[in-house]
This record gives sequence, structure tokens and C-alpha cells, in this order.
Amino acid sequence: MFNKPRSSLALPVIGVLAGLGVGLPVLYFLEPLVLDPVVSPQAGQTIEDWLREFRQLETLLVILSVAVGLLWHASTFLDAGRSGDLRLVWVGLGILFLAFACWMAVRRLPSVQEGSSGIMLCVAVNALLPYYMASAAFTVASHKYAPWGSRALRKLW
Amino acid sequence: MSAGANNGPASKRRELAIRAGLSICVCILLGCSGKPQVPPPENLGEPPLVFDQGLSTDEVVANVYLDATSSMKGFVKADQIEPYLGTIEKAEQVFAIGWSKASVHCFKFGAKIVPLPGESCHLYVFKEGFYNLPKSEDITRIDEILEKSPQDAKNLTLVFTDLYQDRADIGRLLRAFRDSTIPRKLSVGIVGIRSNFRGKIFDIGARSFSGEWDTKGNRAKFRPFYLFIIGRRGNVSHFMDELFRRSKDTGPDQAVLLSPDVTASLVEWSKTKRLIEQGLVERRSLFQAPKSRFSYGSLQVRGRSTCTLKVEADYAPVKYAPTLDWNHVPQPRVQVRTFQVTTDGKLQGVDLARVVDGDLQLQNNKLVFTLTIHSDRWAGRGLYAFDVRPNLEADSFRLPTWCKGWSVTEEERLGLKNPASFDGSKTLNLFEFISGLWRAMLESHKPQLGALYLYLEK
Amino acid sequence: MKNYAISIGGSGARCMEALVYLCAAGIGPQDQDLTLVFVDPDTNNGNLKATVELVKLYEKLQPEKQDGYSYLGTRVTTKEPQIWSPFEGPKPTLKDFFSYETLRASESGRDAAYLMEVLYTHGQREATLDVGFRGKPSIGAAVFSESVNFAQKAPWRQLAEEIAQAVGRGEQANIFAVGSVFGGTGAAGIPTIPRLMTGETLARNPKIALGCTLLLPYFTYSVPSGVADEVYAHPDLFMLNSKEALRYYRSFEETYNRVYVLGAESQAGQEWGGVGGEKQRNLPHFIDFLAGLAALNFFASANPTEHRVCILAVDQKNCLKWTDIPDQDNVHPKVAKFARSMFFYLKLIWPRLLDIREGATGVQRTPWYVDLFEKKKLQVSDSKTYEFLQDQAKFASLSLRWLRDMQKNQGGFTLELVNSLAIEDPDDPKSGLKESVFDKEFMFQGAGKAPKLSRMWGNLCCIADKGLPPTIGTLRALQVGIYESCS
Repeated sequence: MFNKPRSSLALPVIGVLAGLGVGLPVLYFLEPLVLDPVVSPQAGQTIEDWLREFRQLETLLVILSVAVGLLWHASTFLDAGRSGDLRLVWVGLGILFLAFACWMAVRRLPSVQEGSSGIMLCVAVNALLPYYMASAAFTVASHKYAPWGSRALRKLW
Repeated sequence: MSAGANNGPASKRRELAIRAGLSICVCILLGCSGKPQVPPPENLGEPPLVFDQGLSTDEVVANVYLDATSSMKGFVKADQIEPYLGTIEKAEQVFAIGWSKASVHCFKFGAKIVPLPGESCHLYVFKEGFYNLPKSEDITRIDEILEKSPQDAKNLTLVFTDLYQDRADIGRLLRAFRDSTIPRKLSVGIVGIRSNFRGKIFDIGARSFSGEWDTKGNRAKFRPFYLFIIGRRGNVSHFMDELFRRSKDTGPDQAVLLSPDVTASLVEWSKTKRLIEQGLVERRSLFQAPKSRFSYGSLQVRGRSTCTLKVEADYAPVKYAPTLDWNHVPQPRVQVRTFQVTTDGKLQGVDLARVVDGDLQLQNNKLVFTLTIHSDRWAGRGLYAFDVRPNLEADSFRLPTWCKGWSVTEEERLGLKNPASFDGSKTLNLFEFISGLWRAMLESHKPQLGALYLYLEK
Repeated sequence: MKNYAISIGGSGARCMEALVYLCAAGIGPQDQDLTLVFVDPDTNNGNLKATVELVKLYEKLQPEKQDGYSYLGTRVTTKEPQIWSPFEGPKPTLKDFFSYETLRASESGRDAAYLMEVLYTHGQREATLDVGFRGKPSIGAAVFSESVNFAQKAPWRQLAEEIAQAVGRGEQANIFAVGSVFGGTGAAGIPTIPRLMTGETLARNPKIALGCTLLLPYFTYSVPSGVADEVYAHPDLFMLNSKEALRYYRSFEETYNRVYVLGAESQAGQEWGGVGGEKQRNLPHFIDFLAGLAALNFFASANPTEHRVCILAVDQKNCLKWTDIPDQDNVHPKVAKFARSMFFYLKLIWPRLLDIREGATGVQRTPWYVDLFEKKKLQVSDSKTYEFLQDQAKFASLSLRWLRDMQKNQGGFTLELVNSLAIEDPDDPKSGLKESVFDKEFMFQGAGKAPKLSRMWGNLCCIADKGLPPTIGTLRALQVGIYESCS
């Protein structure tokens, strides 16, 4: 079952840190700058309160996104990589989680008068970016090119 | 430092990155500390006040004044002295039960006030000789009571009278209220009760005839007497609640409470429910929060040609008080005063009449304020302060129907040729008196429903 | 240090085959040259040709410069001609070689002719010798004595020069010969060639060590009735020949510094392959393997001043296990690793490369291919690259067949060297290479903790990911990566 050298176990850990290290700053520093000018909360809610609720939910989503990245890593560790690279699994996990994130956002985020498309864009980023960072650059060698864009990404270092 | 090793492109990129990072940090810090200051809402104008919180005191000292003039004799000569006697009795019960500590002092009055021993005031009214006042004293001088009654918060003044007043008397009485009661921010509750009567009614017609009036148990002919309750609103309102609970002969539809306040709770921003904020975004961080006991809204105007703000506030009229007559609330129903906040935190009045339209509606017992802001006509940029208040007049309020229904005017009285046609179930100048008293209160106190303070960033 | 291995006869060629595989496994002299010389009048001998082809394959696959990695870690070279035969023309006979007719006709030569008649029968004089010396060492000895001319003939001249230069620089030269003593060519060549080498151009030099493996009978065959030739190697005479040879060799104790003697009491049966030629292709035997180990043992520890004989015993009669193999702690893991890497290549790597070449799979499914090939702008479809990889597949197939055939060719022995069920058909990766058997115990008695095939795939991806030294080329990197994945 365990088909990889033990040193590979460090990769998921680094992937988690990378996912959180990118996802959380984007959520806490970049997205407020994007959403503040475009979102109009429902009457009676200040933009600060809305952003706070948004941040709370999305922090959970970022963490879950990284957890989905761990699921990906687990699948690569269980699979030898001989017959395929599990790219469909990677894509499937991403799409499923994106759908879940959108559903959660629709259900849990306070409604707004304006800015829905910006919000959903940020939700998509929060769902996919940490997952991508946790997986694309730190997948174990036998499946490292399964994530889209990983070949180009890995050329950077 | 030697040239060469540190001057490569990698080190230049590093230096550039460090500089960019430091600049961003400085900008963020500067941005954080650079919020403008705004003056508090109190600076926008006279803030609305509640003169009387409407709370009853634990202890009450009741001074009960019984009208002993001859016009009152008929109430006790009837076959049944009800409900006149019963009302006085019930009033005493209210004091006995309605407060944890109460003392009752009885008085009789005409032109002069005479204290009566004991606390059972009702025992005096049917005593022989109670109404035998000297002719010089057989005048109902309620103004004397107003001037001499104590002023403590726990004092409650009750006056049982038939309010037999001509126009001159009304004028004097109103003056007394204006001079004594109104400045003290006291409330006046007036309860009308119709009772059995057999006796004389004076000053009927242009020739001041007097005539007999015998109700013979016919409720339709019962003659009214009035109970004035003067004191702090809470005590007056509490007394009225307790009286109505005990008495079948009167009730809220035969009462009115004239108070310095027209609302038990002022409308303010924090108590409103925002219904619509189109083109506007509430934002706390527009400026450094000023110290104020009033709440305010801070909104940012977004890029739309028309922005709409619609908020709903509870309408909490004072119990038993005259109600808002929406058809008589003048247009515009809302007064909006606008200011620009200068860079040094001062207010500068600015005319935005073309920009801002305000409206007020009463819907399902809620006050609904609507502000429409035409951004396309608003050229200025910066921070603005708005003071939005309902525009009320004395005519905006409606007295209960009984005030007019039980009243007969001076003209009607003078026009009577036949004394027998006089309707003893009505009181002369009742409506003039009550409406005059209410108007005097409104003019003196200028009560308000509240104010919405808004700071807008354009 | 210079190392030379001389294979004499068909049995010698099989031992050389084993030596080549052992060098591929990294047991040979590392970062040193090993020159192979094949001596056989039967240049079409099946075993000889197969071994020569194997050596050519090895030469194509080995790195241009030694790089310190075990796989193909010994630099193997050959000289021209790769196969040296004492005869130059077609269909040589003893009679023609010694110009018997001329001698007989001449006065001065007639006595020599008569001596020939005494020593050799008519049939022996007339027999064609291009199929070997037909099990007659006496024929071979005479031919070799006359033909091996270190001063004149290639490759001996080049060998002599090379050795002279090496010892002149102070290097030691190790020369090892291997051949059977019960046949014709080996029995004739083993005592003859070194005697000629030491007696002529190269005087006994203290920097030159001589060693040899004497192969005693270890296989047999049934000669079908009706074989036309009278002159051939009779298996019945193997023991007798060996006895006589050994008695003769005793007088040459001083010639070799170290003599390894190998044989098996229980002899494996072989098919009759004819007198000689292509059909003479005997199956590999564990004695060949041990002979190869003997050569490597000699190269590792040759001493020009010693004279000793080395023999080998097994713990259990007629049973050979890895624990009986000399230097087992070194040999077993390396042979196992080699065998596993060849299996890995044939089972997983080569089929995947073919798929990529045909476009049947996306390269992102093969990270090691991206890392080793694409990043270096190399494609499996390039003709030279494909040829190399194909040669590697061929080499892997040959090595696994060799192991399988050696295991199966037990004779009366019980062999526990390799689980041949795993490698029934190396050219059929789907059903001929059995992964389940491979993963369990491929090389018996464990050879350290060996990774399963799937783990090896993962290891290769990791090795390719980390990268190998830039000094080694892509194809060598693939070889090294596969080899090291098997640890």
C-alpha cells in the first residue's frame, strides 16, 4: 500500500503550510480590498460586519480546501502511479469542493444587494487556491504532474 | 563595501522588493491613522429630549381636591350618588393598593382651599353643609390649586370638579396651567365620568338662567364631572390604569393624558430597522467615532444616480395621549438639515434641498422614514451630516372624540332661548379648555418624536 | 590496474557470459577496464557468438566514462578481432596446418610427418578444425603452440604492448583464463597460452598476475547414434580427460599464480548440439556463474607472488544456495538488485516507453520520463534514443533468461538462486513476468529488504525528481535511476 519513500511524507505537510500560507493572507488582506468597493450588504448590516462574517466562513473553507489537498495526497500515497496519474481524481476533488464551497456560500453568507459575482469569485478562489497550492507544487513525485499547470509551476524552481 | 558581489541583478531585485514592502507598510499605517474627525450629532442642532421617563414612583403623596361649589351639589342629591361617590372611593383604593406607600390628603375647594381631616375623602361629599360655601367662595378656582400644590416628583394632585367654567374662567385656568404646571414638565390627565344628578345648572342661555336637571337614573342624561390628575407622567398614567381597572363607569375612551412628551421612546438610529439601503452601504470606519449619547448612522454613497434609505422605527405614543392625525401632519413630513464636515472637523451648513427628499409614513404602527438622495445632482464630495426629524405641529394631533362630544360652546350656550332645552349632560367650553391646554403644552415643550442622525460619505 | 579475461572454447565463452552479467551487476572491478579476449577455432560456436553479441550490447550500453555507479560499473572492452582463431582459412585441418603433405614429401620434414602419423590418427589429421579441436587437446596444443605469436598476431601484439606499457607505469596487470579441461579447446589452451605469454614477449614480470579457472566436467549430453564424424568430444571420456589433464597441469603449478577448480559431481544433461558450430549452444550453468565469480575474485585480489589452488564446497551435497556462494554478502544483494532492475525495466519501464512513443499515453502520467527526457529535450521517438532503449530491453531480456535458464539447468543439483516462475518469458511483460512472484521472494533467502515493483516505480519517480548529477547523460540517468530504485 505505501509506495513512496518515507521522506515523501514531508510533502503533504509542506503543502498544507503552503496552502494556508497563501490562502489565508489572500483572504485576510487581498479579498477585503476587492470586495469592499463592490459589495453592498442588505439593509441594516455594515460592510465591516459582512466582511467579518465572510471571513469567518471562508477561513473554514480555506482550511477545508487544504484538507481536500490532504485527501489528494493520501490518494497519491495509496496509488503506485503505474497505471495512471489520478488526474481525474485531482480534478474531481477540486470540482466537488468548489461546488460544496459555492453551496455553503449561498446558504451561509448573509445576502447582499450588490456584488454577488465578486463574492462568488472570491469563494472560488478560496476554495481552489489553497487546494492548488497544497497539491500542485507538493505532490509526491509519482503523481507530480497530475495537477494542471504543475509542470509550468515546477519550472519556477 | 566592495563592488561586484552585491551589485548583481538579484540583489537589485531584492532591494526593490524591500523598498516596495516598506512603502506599502507605511501607506497602510498612514491610512489607518488618517480617519477624519466629525462633530457629534449634538452639534447638528437641538437634540430631541424626553422630558419625563414615564416611570411611576414607589411612594405617592396624593392631594385630593373636591369641588365644593354649589354646582356640584346635584351629584349627591340624586337618588344614587353614583358613580360620583364611587369614583372618589375608587380613587382612594387606587392609592391604597397601587403604590407601595401612599398618603392621601383631602381638601375641599371653591375659591379657597380647605383641608379636610382623614384620608377618606369620599365621606365628605355627601355630608350636610359640604357645599354650603359663602357666596364669595362659591367659585371654582382650580388655578388656586395649581399654584399651591406641592412640586415633588411623588406628589399627585387630584381635582374632582364639574369644570363649570366660562370663557374668562377658561382663560384664567389655562394661564394657571401655563404658569405652574407646564414649566414643571408635569402631565395632566383628564378623566371624564358621567354621573347621576339632581340639582340646578346655572348660567344657561344669554340671560344666565338656571335650570333643574334630574337624570332620574337615565344614563343618557348623566351629567359629567371630571377628575384632573396632575403630576409626573408615570404616576398619572399609573393612576389612570388602576382607576380604569376598578371602575366600570369610565375608561380610556373617556380620558386623555396631556404630557410634555408625545412619545414614550424617542426615535433614534440604533432603534431603527433598515428596510432599504439602495446605493448606500453602512460602514463604521468612515471617521473616528465621536463621543455622543445619540446613535447615528454612517453610510457611504455608492455610484448610483438615486439612492434610497428607508428605515422603520417603533411608534410609541404616550398612553392615553392625543394620537397623531396623519392627515394633519404637514408636508414635508420630514425636515432634513444638511451640513458638510470640513477638514478640520467643523460643520458647515449646506443646501441640499434639490438632492435630498424626505418622507415619513405611519404604517402598521411603525414610523417609516424614507430618504431619497439624487446623487446625480450632488456635485460635492466628502463627508456630510444629516439631521432628519419628523415635522410636527399641534394640529398634527387629535384629541379623543369625547372631548368635543361632551362639550358645548359658549355660542351654543348663549344661543339657548329656552333653558329647558339645555343639555345638562355636556360641559361648557370643555373642548376649548382641553385643546387650549394641549396647545399650550405643545408650544411650550415642543415635543418631538426623535431624530435620525446620519453621516454620509460621498 | 589492467584486467584481462581470456575465454578459451565454448565453456569459457559461457563463463565469460556470466562474467559480463556480474560486471553489469556492479560486482566487477569498479572504475577499471576489463578486456575480454575470446579464443576458439569454432568462431560460429553458438555460445561464443551469443557471448560476443552480449559483450557488444554491453559496450553500447555502458557509460562513456566511469561515473561511480554500480550498474555497468566495469568498463568492458574487446580487441580486434573479437574472436581469435588460430586458423585463417576455411575448413582448416591439422594436416594442412602443419603442411603434412609437404613435410612428408620433403627429406628434412619426413620425420616430422612420421611423428605426426604416430601422434595423430588419419581421421584426426583430416578432421576439419573450424568446429574446434573435437575434444582432442593434443590437437589444440599443437595448433596453439604454432599460432600464438605475441610479437606478430592481433590481438596478442596489442595485448602485449598494452601490458608492457601498464607494467612500465607501475600498474599491475591481471590476466585470467577460463576454459574446460575435459574438452578440446580449453584443455589445449589453458596451459598453452600463458606459457607462451610468459615465455615470449613478456618475461615473468612481478607486476603481472596470472590466474585461471579449470572447468571440470559439470554437464553431459547424449550423442545420438549415427553421428557421422568419429572425431568429437565423447562425454564418456570427460572424466578420463580431466584426470589426464590435471595430471599434466600439475607440472605447470608455477605458471599460474592462482588456479580455481570448478566442477559438479552431478552433471546437468544438455542437448546434443552437433560437433560444433551454431547449434552447439549449451544452457547456462551455475558453474559458469561460479567461474565468473572466480575471475572477479582474482581481479580483486590477484597477487603475482603467490601460487595457490582454490576450490569450493557446498554445505549440503548436491544443493547450492546463496549461502554457498563466495562473498555472498556482496554478491547476493548485487545480483538480486541487478535482476530486479532488469525485471523492472522489462515489466514497467519499457512498455511505458513504447506507449509514449506510440502516443498511447500522456507523458504527465510518467513523471520520470518528463524529468529525465523531456526536460533534457530528448524524446523516446528519437532514433538513437530508441535504439539505446531497445538495446537495454534486449540486455535485460538476455540477463533474465540467463538467470532463468541457469536456475532450471539444475542437473542433479538443488538450486535456490532465483525464482524462475517470475521470469517465464521476459519478452512478455503482461503474462511472462509475474509480479506477484516477484514481489514475494524473487531471489530467495531475501537479499536485504527488497521493494515491491510499485514501490520501485515510486522510487524512480523520486530519484528523477531529485535529479542526478548533471555530468551523467539522460540515458545513463535512466539506467542509474532504475538500478537505484531497486534498493
